[in-house]
Amino acid sequence: MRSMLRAAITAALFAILPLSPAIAQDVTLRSLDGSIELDGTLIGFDGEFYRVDTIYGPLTVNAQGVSCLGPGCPDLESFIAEARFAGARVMADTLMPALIEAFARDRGMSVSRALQPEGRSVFTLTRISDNSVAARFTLIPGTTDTGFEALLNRDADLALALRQPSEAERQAARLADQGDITLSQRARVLAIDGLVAVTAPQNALREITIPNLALVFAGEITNWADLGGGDAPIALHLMEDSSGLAQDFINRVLLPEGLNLGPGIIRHSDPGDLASAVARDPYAIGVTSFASVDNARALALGGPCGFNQTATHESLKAEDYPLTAPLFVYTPARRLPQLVREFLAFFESQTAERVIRRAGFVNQSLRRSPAAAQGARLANAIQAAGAEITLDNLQRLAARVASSQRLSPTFRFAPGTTDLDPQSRSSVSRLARAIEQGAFDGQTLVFVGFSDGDGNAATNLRLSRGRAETVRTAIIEAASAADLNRLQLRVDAFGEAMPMACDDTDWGRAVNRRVEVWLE
Amino acid sequence: MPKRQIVRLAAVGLMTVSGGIFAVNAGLIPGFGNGGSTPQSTPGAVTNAVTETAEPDQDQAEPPIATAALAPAPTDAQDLPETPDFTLTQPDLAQPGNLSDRMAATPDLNMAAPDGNEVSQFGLPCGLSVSATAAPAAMVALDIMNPCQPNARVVIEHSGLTLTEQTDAMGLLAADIPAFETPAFFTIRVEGSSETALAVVPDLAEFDRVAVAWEDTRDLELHAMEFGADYGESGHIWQENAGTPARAQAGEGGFVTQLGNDAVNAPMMAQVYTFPRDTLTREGAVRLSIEAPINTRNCGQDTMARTLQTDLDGAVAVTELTFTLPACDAVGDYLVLQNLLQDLRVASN
Repeated sequence: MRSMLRAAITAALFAILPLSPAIAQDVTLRSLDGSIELDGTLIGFDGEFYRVDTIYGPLTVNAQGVSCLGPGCPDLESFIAEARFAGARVMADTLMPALIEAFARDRGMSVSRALQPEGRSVFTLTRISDNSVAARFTLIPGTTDTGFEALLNRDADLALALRQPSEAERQAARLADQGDITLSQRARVLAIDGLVAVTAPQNALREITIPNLALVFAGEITNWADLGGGDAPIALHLMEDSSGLAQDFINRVLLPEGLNLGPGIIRHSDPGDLASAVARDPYAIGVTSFASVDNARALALGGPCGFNQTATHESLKAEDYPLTAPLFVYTPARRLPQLVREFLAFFESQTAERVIRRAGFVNQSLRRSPAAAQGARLANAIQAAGAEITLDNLQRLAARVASSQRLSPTFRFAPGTTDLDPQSRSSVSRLARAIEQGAFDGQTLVFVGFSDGDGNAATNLRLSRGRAETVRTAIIEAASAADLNRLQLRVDAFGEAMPMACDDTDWGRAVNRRVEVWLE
Repeated sequence: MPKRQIVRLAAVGLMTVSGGIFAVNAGLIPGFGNGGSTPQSTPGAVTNAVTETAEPDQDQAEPPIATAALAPAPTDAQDLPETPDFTLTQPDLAQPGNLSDRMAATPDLNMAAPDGNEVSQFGLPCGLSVSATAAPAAMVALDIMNPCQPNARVVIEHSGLTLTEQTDAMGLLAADIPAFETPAFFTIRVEGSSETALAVVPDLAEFDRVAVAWEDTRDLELHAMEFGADYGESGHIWQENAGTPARAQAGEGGFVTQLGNDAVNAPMMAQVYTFPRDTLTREGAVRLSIEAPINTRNCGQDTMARTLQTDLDGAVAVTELTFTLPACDAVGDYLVLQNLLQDLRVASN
């Protein structure tokens, strides 16, 4: 009876926590000083910790603190860390292989790639020093949809996603014992991409407003003449249904205008193919990934009040471009092997930042731009200044701009909340790490809040100061290892002054509501 | 395509046999040779050659007379391995038609030069020597001389690239190799002896380089689509439209170099695409793919390959690649592998 119960518990635990697959066998874990001994059956081993089913229930024991005896003991020396990455082709095809190769080189390992059917690749990382295999990473390219599905079904250990999980996926994750997949620590921002509208280089159109872009893809604008071009029908190109890029585009551009995709859109499964097809057709327009624009031409996104935003590395990094799209890696609810965790940590290294840049994406390295580069923004601020913005304010703004450098992270909030959006949370983490490493010792960081132009100027000023304080608090909390006496963290606010985009659209207001970081 | 394949195989047959004859003639019978230039392993090579060309039903042909007295001796006190009693024969072979083959079949007259060194029948001293000089577009011109071993299999190694080539009937080989590092270090091995060569390549940083290298006769190809070019257009750079180094230096686009000779045993081949980094007069991207026409000699075969790609900071990323070519019912189709190599981007953003 008892053994049946134990077998049932083991089986249940197996279902919940499959670490490395282990035949349940007897083991005895003995502490290094010999004083404690644990008998049980081994449920799993992740390279660092034993998971053992004992008479006390399942226990997790650090392998370094014990020696293992018995037929079920894993071979510590030859443990191979395994991880399966499934999801968006945009990430799986070029970015992940380049990162795996760079990681291997960084750790003194050689990498060998085996191509398998259905586009799968298995990367074997072998230590050069003793020719032992250290890890096997499998890449399963598909879409954001299939990535989440695989994560929940345990067909993959990590999901590569171009968007955040939907409510349905969140529920499914809970039911599949994957916990709350929307917690901030479950997602890492690997790099930054963007949704870019592209045309052929010969096409005279240079910019388009977001509402017009929605109308074009909803099939309500069908001729180039309606956009200021010649009389010719518009050929539409978009990624396939299950692609996170297409889904993101529909969610952020069409749905807010109350529109759905129109008929006759040519769908693609590879963003590079989409860009190539558009580049060859002067009557085509498409929406693709910023990293895949290649030989097509990207359109600037404009608004009626004259501001427009071109997708560039700078504008994506600062999220000033309205259709910035972070690339996410979602982790499972269980502990990953140490080498896999080190690989995830590698994403933030300088080497990884170069690889990301080379692959055409935007990395999250901290950049400083000097005061001279802010001239256009300042000029816009003076031009757009309404009656509610005083000369005093403008002079103060000009003085600050002239004496400081702007750092690249710009913090924005999830719509309607005081929570930072995922890209901003990632920026908090990076900035905190830089502070911990002493990058700003002896200097002053000023968190400067801005608001949109909706409503009362004085209220907006207060709101923007509140946001700046929220960001400063988040940084202080994140930089727990820093000696905050070595630098100064201050707060300032300018409310409605210096807008980046038009205030008469939702997305424009969202772009304007921000906190910038200035370095004195 | 099938026609090209047949020609390749016949050439292999010819060369192997002629090489066998030559080696037998050269070293079988010890002579007065007193030079130090004979490769140490000649006795071993001779033994191998003897084993390879031994045939059960040999004719009794006359041994070449001149060779008997003048073959080179081993350089040190190493004894010649016991060679079985053996009569030199001409294996059954249709008369070779061209000059190289006839030269290869001619008995080698190794004459002692006045200063005592061994020389080949063309008067070039025996022994392996290699020189490397920098050439335009970050290439290195290798001159390999091994006059006493014509038609020999040569292995060239450079920075993760390993190639097999073959010396000609005079034992010479000239090859232009795209450099992946500077100073460019080369190791050349021919039948047991090896030499190294070094060349400084001053313009290496001006070019991006991507290579796919493979073992055996798998017929892989490297394709570069420059700036949105489609298949067959002028910007589609591959072995049938390979471009030139001059084009790269002028900033117009890249070029493909085919390396290696798969007519030898255990061939190792490569194709390298070179692209000018900063002198380009256009913006855009170059999409790279590895393709293979599926034919009767590579269908269904396991393939060991390697990709090399230069980094912006001069490092070379090397990745081993293994895959299986489609089965033989796909002969006539093409295997296209995209996204294995980073697309090259020229952008000012």
